[in-house]
Amino acid sequence: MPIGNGFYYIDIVKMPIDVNIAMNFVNDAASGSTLLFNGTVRDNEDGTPIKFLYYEAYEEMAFREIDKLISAAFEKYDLNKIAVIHRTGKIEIGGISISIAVSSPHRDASYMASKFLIDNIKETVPIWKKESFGEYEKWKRI
Amino acid sequence: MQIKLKLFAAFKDLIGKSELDLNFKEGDTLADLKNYLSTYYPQTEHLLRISKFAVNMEYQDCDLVLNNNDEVTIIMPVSGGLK
Repeated sequence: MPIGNGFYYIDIVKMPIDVNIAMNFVNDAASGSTLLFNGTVRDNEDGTPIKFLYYEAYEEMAFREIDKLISAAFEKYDLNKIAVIHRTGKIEIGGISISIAVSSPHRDASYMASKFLIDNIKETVPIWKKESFGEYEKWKRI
Repeated sequence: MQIKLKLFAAFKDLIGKSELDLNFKEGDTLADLKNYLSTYYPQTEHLLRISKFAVNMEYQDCDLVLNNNDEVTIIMPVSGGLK
């Protein structure tokens, strides 16, 4: 179940991400900029072909950590709305694993906040990625 | 005292369970829990060295004293990726 209020939206889903949910949420009359970032599954890791990725989350804590990062982004940048949707489970090549939508009065804040969010989500939010190379699988970063 | 250890990702694979109920004595810390895991689940030792801990869903340092019914999770490095 998604959490949030009128200014932010967080969800962790097992089905394909509907990017329109994120875009529509941040759509705002006071914004001159709305920006959508999608993290997608690449077909290789350093040249080795990948079959698919598998994401696993400690969901309760992941919601809380994303919530903290969104609060930090609102403090750091002049933003109107933020939506973050992360997918878990098996994701095929080309599938979207995360969508981050941001709206702000001016574009610089959207670009900086979007980068701030994805960089930090990948450092502190307990969601792990397993790469399947067909013959073997490997958890990322171990 | 009783501690619930929740296991995810590689730790779940290496230990073969998603949860462990463990007993510790008053005053024991996360470092004691880490030592316990190294001793009884040596296959996790290389991962423990690069992982962090969360207690009741907050990141904590190893000197944190555990309390009865704490829910502990080992947070191995998350998905990462190049910028």
